[in-house]
Amino acid sequence: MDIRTHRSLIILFLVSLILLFVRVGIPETRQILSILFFYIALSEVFNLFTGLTLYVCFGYVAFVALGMYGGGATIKYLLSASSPPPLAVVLACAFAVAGILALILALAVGWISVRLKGAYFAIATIGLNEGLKNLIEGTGIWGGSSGLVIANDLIQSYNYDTFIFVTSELADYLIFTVYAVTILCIYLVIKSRLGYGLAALREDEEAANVMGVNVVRYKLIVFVISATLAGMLGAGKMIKDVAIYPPQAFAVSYTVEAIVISMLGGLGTVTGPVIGGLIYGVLKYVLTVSFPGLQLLALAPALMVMCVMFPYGIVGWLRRRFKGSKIESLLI
Amino acid sequence: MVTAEYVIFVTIAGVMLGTFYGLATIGLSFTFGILRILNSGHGSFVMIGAYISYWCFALLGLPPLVSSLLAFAVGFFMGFALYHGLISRVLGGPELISLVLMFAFGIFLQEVAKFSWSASPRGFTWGLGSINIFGYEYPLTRLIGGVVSAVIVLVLYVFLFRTKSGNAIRSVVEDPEGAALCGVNVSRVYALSLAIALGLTVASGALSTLFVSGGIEPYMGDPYTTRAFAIAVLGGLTSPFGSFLAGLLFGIIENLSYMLLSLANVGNPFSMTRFLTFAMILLVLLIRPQGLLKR
Amino acid sequence: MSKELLRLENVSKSFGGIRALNNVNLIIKEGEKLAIIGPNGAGKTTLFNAISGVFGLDSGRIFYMGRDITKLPPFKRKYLGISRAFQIPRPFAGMTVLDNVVVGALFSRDIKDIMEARVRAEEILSLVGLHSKKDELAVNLTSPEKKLLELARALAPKPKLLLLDEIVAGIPPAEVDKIMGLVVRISEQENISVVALVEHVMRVLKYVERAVFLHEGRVMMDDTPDKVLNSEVVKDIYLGKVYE
Repeated sequence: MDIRTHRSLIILFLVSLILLFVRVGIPETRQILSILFFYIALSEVFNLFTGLTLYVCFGYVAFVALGMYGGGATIKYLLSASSPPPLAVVLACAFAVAGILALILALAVGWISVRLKGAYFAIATIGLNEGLKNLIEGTGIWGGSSGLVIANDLIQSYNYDTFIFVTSELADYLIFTVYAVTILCIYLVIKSRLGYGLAALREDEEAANVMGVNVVRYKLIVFVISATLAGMLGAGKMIKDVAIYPPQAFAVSYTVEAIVISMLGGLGTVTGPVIGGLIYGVLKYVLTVSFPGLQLLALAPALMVMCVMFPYGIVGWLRRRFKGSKIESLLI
Repeated sequence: MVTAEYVIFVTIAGVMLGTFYGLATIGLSFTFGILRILNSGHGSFVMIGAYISYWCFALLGLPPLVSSLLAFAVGFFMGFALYHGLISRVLGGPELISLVLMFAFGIFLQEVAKFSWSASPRGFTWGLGSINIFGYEYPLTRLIGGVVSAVIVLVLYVFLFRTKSGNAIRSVVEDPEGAALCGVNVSRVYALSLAIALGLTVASGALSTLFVSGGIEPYMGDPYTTRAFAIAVLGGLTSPFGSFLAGLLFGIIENLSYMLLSLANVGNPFSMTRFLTFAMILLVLLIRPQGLLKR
Repeated sequence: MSKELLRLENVSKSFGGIRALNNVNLIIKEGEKLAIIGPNGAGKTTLFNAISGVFGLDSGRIFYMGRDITKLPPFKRKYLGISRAFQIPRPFAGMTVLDNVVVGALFSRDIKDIMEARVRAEEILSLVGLHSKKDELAVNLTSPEKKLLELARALAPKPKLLLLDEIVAGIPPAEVDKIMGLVVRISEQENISVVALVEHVMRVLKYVERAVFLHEGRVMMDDTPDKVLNSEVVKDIYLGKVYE
């Protein structure tokens, strides 16, 4: 295996690790970088499916929320025992449950939806957020409308210092890990036979089908992988926030921001959401300071303009501009 | 107490509600059937209509019937503006772009509403009293709402089948290239269709205030979006009149669902019905994606 | 004795009220080269669509190497070795010429490895004469080049049955011989059965051993090219169109 062929991925990993070290080393950056990590991870997960298939899944926030709830409920359950298991076990179970729940939901919804063409697929998934939210609020499971809080459980089972460490530090490392796994997944997919099939599917789905690409199966595979990772990301977020309430968990702003970051950076690329996330993070910070509460008001028209004039994003544009050169192969 | 009269009452109420739902969905099918674009921001337009109705009543004392005309005009104008400004540029491109575009516009409308009028829910009552159906009180405003919705759809039908513009629109649905060859200005048809579709949607938002007297806030559109999608899928996404019939059916089913869920005491009936709506979308898409009512 | 490759049994398909295929019976053997001819609207493309699996049949069955493939989706048929070059080339516009052929090679039964697919793709591109353009975007090719690309894509997966949909339409006569010669050479080299759909019959007939004449969805004649062209039935229907 020639290391040089994968140098673009390695460079990206190194850059990401540097950012992680910055966050660890420079306390002032902690808050902003921690938020950035989450948004970049969110966008990469979104990008894994939507970028590679060009099908818009509006509802993947439901998978994140499902992960949050599943992970949170698992933690609560495990910590309610008389002698709570070691922290590592609890967290591992939370991630596992979150991933599995998301996987099951993705299989169920995906199996129906990926057979459908663009608009119908959007319809099937756009209701996913509303549907899951209403199920939770309606049946009252997992705390229903009152939400789910695990802060006290954590403090009581372990000590306060551990609690602080887990929520302020460990959670971010966990989120970073999900991010790392996601970009690895995207990279592996792009370079594989699956990636070729998806590229053909993006260009012309009907022709791809006739050329031997099992378009339904391929869409389903990427959909399920992306959803499972989204679920795990949710588990990470739950560990960080230690609380979740339905209106906030299913907030449309997550969807909008993930779309903006992915499109700004470049759909279907690995580096796109990272660059998009960094730029967006800065912009958001500036906006929050100068015009609090107005982010979406500014984002929405920006997104509209991007749709019309700049659909390939920064990385996409760069890759076209420098086609065939070293730059293109670096910006995977 | 569940008597036969109660069930009939609920059904009639459902029909009235259903004609309104049908009207609220026709815009969606119109847009998709003609421009092949799904309005993923559909609910926000309904929300704008509701606000128009509110402000006309609060500031000018105009009843929703009158303000719905203004609402139609606003939506009509928005349709032209959106088409020439944005939609025409993305029409031939990947579906993803137009989906995200309409979604973003919907968000934009929500945020403008929040910025202008705050997120506090508003409402008003156009008190007209009620009529008695089988011993149950039914607000007259809802009856009017249902009837007016049906009338509007009738007008639409006449327009589509009896006027020159209407025929032009229908010809473009059938065969855009053929229509162009026959001298139809396809671009103008698209703009007009979007204008009508959005006009109907915003007008339906104004009429919504006849059915629900409160809860007018920037994010009220989301359940409408899901509902409209469910109805459109049920009736055939490309068929406006299929949507209307599906809307009727849906209104009845929704009302009966509230009734049954309240009786069965399975959690919150409103949330559960919304969840079941989503489940129904998936079911219909699984079994018969082209819609139950489409031939 | 050549083995039977494809068999259509009483295949019928209607669209709306129009009978596009009317009780078609056809057997194609391994290594055969035949032409499907007939006037506009005779059902030639519909026949190809039925074999490719683009839609389901109203009645009848299709057998491939003894196996009933009537209900099999298009991509599965490709795995079995049925490959098609379309009349109006539909290359993946944003991908390079090489990648286009790689997709053709990669999604077949024999080749699963990307490196192997690349090698095969380059091989095929050399055969058809497009190797110099392998890194060009498919959208930038000229019309005849796109046809060659289409042919390359169809040949890449080492098919057993090659469906050529109007492969020589819109091509100057000199090029026709080149392409058809290519097709014959490769098909004999790799033992591929070739079914060429043509409207301008004369250009192709000297390269095939058999002609099937379709009219209004029905097989009117199925014999050697000479016999078919000289039959009264065909002459009547074609009314001189054969002699361009």
